[in-house]
Amino acid sequence: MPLVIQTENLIKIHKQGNLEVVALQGLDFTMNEGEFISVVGKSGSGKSTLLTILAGFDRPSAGRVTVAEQDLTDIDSKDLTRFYRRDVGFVWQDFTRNLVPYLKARANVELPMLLAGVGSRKRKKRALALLEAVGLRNSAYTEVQTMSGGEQQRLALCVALALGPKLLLADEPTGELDTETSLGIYELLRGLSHQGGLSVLVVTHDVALAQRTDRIVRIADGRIATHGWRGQEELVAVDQRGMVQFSRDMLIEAGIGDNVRVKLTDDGILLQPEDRLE
Amino acid sequence: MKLGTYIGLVARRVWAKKGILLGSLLGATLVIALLVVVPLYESSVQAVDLRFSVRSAVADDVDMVAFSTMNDYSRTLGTSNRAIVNDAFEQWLVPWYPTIEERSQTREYAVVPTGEGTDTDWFVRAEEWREEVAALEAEDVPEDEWPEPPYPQPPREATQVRFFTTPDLDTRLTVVRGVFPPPLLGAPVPEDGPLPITIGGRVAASTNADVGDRFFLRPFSGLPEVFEYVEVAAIVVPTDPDATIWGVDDPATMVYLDQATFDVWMGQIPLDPGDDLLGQVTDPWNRPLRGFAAPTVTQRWRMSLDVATVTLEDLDEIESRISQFKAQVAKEAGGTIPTNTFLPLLINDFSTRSVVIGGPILAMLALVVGGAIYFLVYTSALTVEREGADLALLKSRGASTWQTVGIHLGQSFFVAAAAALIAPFVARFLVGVTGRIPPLSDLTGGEPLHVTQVSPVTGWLLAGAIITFLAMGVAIVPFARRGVLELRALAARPGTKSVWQRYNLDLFAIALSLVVLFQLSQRGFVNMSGEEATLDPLAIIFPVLLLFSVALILLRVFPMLLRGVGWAMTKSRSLSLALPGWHLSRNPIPYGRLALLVWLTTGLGAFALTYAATLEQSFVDRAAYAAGADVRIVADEAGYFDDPEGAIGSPVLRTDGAPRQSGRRAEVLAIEPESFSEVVTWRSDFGADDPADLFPLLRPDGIAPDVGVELPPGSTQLQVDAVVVPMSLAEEAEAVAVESDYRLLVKVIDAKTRVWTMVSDVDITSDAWRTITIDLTTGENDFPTPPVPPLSLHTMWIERSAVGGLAVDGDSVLMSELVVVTDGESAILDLGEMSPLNDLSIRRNVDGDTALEARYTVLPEGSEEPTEEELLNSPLYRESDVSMWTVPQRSRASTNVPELRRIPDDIFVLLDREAASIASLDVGETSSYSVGSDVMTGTLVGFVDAVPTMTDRRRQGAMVVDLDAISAWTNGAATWSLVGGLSRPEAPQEFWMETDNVDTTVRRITAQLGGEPDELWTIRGVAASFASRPVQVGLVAILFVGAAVAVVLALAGVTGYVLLAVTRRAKEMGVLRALGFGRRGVATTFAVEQLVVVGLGAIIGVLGGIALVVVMLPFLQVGETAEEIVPPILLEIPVGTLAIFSAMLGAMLIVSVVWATRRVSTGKMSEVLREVDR
Repeated sequence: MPLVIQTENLIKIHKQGNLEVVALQGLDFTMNEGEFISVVGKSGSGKSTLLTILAGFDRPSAGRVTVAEQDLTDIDSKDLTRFYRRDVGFVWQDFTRNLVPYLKARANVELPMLLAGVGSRKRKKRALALLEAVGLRNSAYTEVQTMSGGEQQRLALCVALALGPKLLLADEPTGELDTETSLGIYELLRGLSHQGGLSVLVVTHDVALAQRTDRIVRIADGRIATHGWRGQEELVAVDQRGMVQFSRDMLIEAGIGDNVRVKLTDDGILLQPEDRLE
Repeated sequence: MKLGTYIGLVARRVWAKKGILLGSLLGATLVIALLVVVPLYESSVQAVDLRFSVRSAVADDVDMVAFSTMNDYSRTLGTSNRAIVNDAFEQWLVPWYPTIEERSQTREYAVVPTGEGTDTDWFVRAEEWREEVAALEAEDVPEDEWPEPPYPQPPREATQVRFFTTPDLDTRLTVVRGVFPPPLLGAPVPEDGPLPITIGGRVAASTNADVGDRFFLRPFSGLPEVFEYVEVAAIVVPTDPDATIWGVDDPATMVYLDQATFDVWMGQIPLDPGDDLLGQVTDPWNRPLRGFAAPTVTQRWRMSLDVATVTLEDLDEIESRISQFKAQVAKEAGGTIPTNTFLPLLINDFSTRSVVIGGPILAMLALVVGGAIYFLVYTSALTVEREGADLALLKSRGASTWQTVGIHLGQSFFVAAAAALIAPFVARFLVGVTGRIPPLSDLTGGEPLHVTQVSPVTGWLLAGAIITFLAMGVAIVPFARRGVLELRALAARPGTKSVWQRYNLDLFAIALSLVVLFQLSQRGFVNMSGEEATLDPLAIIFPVLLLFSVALILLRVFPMLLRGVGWAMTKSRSLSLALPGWHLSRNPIPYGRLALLVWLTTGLGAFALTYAATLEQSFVDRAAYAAGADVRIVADEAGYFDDPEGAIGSPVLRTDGAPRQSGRRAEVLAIEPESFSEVVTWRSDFGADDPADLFPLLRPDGIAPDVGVELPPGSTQLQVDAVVVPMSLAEEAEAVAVESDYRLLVKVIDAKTRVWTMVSDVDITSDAWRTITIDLTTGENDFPTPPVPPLSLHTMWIERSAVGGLAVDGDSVLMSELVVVTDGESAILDLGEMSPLNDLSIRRNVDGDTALEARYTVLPEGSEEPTEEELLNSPLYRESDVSMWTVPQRSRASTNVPELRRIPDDIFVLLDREAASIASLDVGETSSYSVGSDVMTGTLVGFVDAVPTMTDRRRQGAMVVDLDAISAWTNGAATWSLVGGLSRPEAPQEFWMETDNVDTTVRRITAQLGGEPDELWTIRGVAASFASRPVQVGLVAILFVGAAVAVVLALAGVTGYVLLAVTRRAKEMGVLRALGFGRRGVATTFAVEQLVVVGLGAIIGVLGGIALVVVMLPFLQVGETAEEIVPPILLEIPVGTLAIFSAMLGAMLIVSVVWATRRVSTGKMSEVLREVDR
């Protein structure tokens, strides 16, 4: 099955003042077409960073990322616009930011098509079909602000799907919704994926909801966490100031607390718990 | 369709953001309106100025006048001239000169009464002459031996009249008595009687003529035989005595012929010889010719300007047509009809004034527009930042960079278009309303200023729309290419360093300002090429550039200042001070933009107000400088007036002079130091802070200088016994004529420094000693009041009593001691201080009988020696010693009179520094000075930089001296005074007064004068007469409007900024509320923070605005005539107005900040937090 997402050794370093924070540490990840995947992880694990890179909103510091056959590592703005229009749809967590507040429901759905130069008749037809699909046909001419959170998020899905993208990315799309509504949204996404052949990647921290996807990808400390650290060899980035970051899990597993014993050996640098004697 | 959808999208976007776009609309409207205001206001104020200039101009100046003076007038010539002028008039000057008046006037004719019934009956004389000539003819006496005919000769004081005519004479005159004679169109015949004429009332009165009376009229100068016999047909008065047709002539003093009769009779009219008795001989009564041969006639046309038709748009055409009219007349008349009007000069002056004074208007508007554009860019940038999330959404939905830009530009277009629709009305309103506010309301009578529409308005409107569109559109440029995440972050995080600093544009702007400043200081504010004045474009952009540059420097410095203030605030115990202090000191950079706006706006307001105050003060200063005092009167001997009640007066003599008698003549004021210090209008930069510190230097010992030998109080007479040393009897016997009488003259200076010439009551003769008396209570001068004691005797001299010939003739005069009579008592006057000058020799202690001895030294042959008794009884005998004055032989042509004079003391002088430096004089140095035509010794006691009224551009420098001191020099010397009228002493011709009630003082002083003064100056009058006043006051008005605009911009900008800041920081406030901080506390915290920034910004802005005026001052020193303003403009800081401006601005800003923070301070916590999400 062809891959819709492929990342290789993806690294993303954010700068916060003088400090460089490594959000993604050599992440390797693939996704097949038509898959419905959830990405889970703790806060700050790098899942939202991964999503914004996959959506083309941000660029990796190193490594490669290909989405829908488009290499996003070194993309120009023209190709990026085309990528937004043709290849990917995005739903933000904050549903008020998914929609243009001064446009009515149908106009919101039509907006991406308008920007992409789709004719008005086709726009209207497609918009109404999408609204029908998410059960908002009757709200086509409703002001966005008067719609409920669930309705707005379903509408946001319509907007994201307006130009028929290959991939739908959603950053905690149900984060501000109740459980029942959230389940409804996930069912909708599942239907779009399984029946419509749409690849869907959802970021969530709700394990229960993640269970409803085809595959769960766990991210911890900026990489895919499939098992423990012992015995694994890892390439860790050394930042410009010579600082190296280790994941908390790895440190716990190694029994390292607040202090660490550092020793330069012929093979390199040996890190040991503080209380371990030579 | 797609375009329509886009427009719909933009329209919905605009509508959705109407609240925030309102700020942009306000800014855009102001920018366009102000740009439109530039031509609209300029033209409107200039229109007022033009009307003011043209209407206040004397009709003689603006009317077109053409004239032709002909020595041999004829109907043909008159008609031809008329055609030339009328044709050119109709072709070129209508409609600005809708009317043309023509008048013709002859030179003077003398009225010669017929003398009927008197000895000089010219008819009788003529008859006698005829008889005599007939007899001579009968005796065959050759014709050239016949006597001259008795042409009518005018009496010694004949009435002089001029013939006057105009094509519509009958409507110009109203008949009082008699009947207006019908035109005499045909040539006269010998039988015709006298020529019927119409005469003015004064002619009738002075000739005692009534209707039906006859007299002769003959040229006042010219051939005697050209005379006519006329009869008064009517006596008239002018229908409108003030009509322009009369010009400067008094219609009552003229005689009239209607135009047709005038054309026939002004010229020779050949007649048949008829019964001419004498053939070709010109008989005054039966001539072959009638009419006034070869009359000198001036034909004059006046084309009156209709001032209402002179409009700004027509100025060029009027000028062009005037020159074409003049050229055509000159060409067709061969230069015999000069044409003249001063209208082009007036227009030229007006244009120069418009350029010179329009400069600051443009600079001011450039400043306002610059500020408004910044406001626009600023609010647009705020808008774009607020729209960050919106733009991010569009981008994430596939909007390209161009689509993002296009949507924003579409939005800007909407706003700019709306602004362009509203702006003209706003502009018209702004221009109109300036007419209602002082000081322009003084000129418009409180009515709105009439808005004069000019064609450039459309261009400016379009330019304004484009500028605002671009200013708003440019805000998107830095954001358009940003990524989705960056755009989302924008709305939450303010920018850091300003673009100015990032690219060092601030340093560039500062460098550019310095270059422009240098250029302007080299080139000046106004360029004059020929008569054309043009404004230096640099001068217009300079204020804007400077203000921006200074603002940009401050942008670098301001964060440090804020950090310091913030740090100080953190030390406060009050959380409402400490929290904002912490915020300010931690990250002060983002406040730069707000501060910049506040600087620009308050700077603009402070600049406008300070500039207006400086300009107004300069007006007052210039008026005060020109007037010199509250009231200044110039008239003959005005300095001798008494102080009017309620006023202090000071006499001033104005003349010229020079230190070291150089050829460089300075203007000289001779003053009375004490009173002058009190009345003169003064400014500290004129030479001293207080005139009372300066002018008394002219009297170092504090008392008035001695001007002569002081006579005791109450002196009424001077008496002396005198005799001319006679010839010997032998000489007398041989002399042809003996004329040796002398008289004694004195010059006495009274308390008012009036110089009196007084003459002895009887002559000094050679036949006897006589006691001669000089009355000190009157003099030969025509001063209105008698001499005011104390009196000082300055000069004595003797001259011959006989008119003509030698003034003195080498004679000797013996004189006893001079006695002064005081209230009946006499005392000898000591003349020791006086010295004989100009070859006068005085021998004292001469024997009293010297005259007697001289008489009898040589006796004629055969005469007997006088006996002792005869000698003792001789009227020439005197026992006591006397003085003998011996005068050289000297004629009246010699101006140096042998005299006994007190040599005046040295004078003290104040001089301007430049003149002193050129003459190499320093304080304390003594040198010779020329004052008027006299040379005197003087000591420089101080410097004076400027003295009010010293504006004579022909003079170089200023010199002030003591009036008393120079009177002794300029007027003390003797003059052969009583020959051909008394020589006029140099008298102070000005009287300066200080008063609280100008009108009353003017009334009282003119009453004292008993007529119109030559000049009357009051500060108010001068100020009102400045021709540039409309434009200047217009400028002041627009400056006030500028200040108002600044307030609006500041309010809108601050409110917008605070609203955005509230949105950004609502979360922080929500947290503070959640932590238990009260509503008011949160609002106060936030408001304090903003107010510190705004307050500091406003203080800097006000100081900056004032500083800008200071920097611009050198460029404002050019007046409306493109000449340097005297006295120079000084900075005037309107402390009161600025305080009110700052207080109003502060109060409004506080209200706007509080209003903007109300959303976070009044609502419930949940609402606050929801507000954050919106």
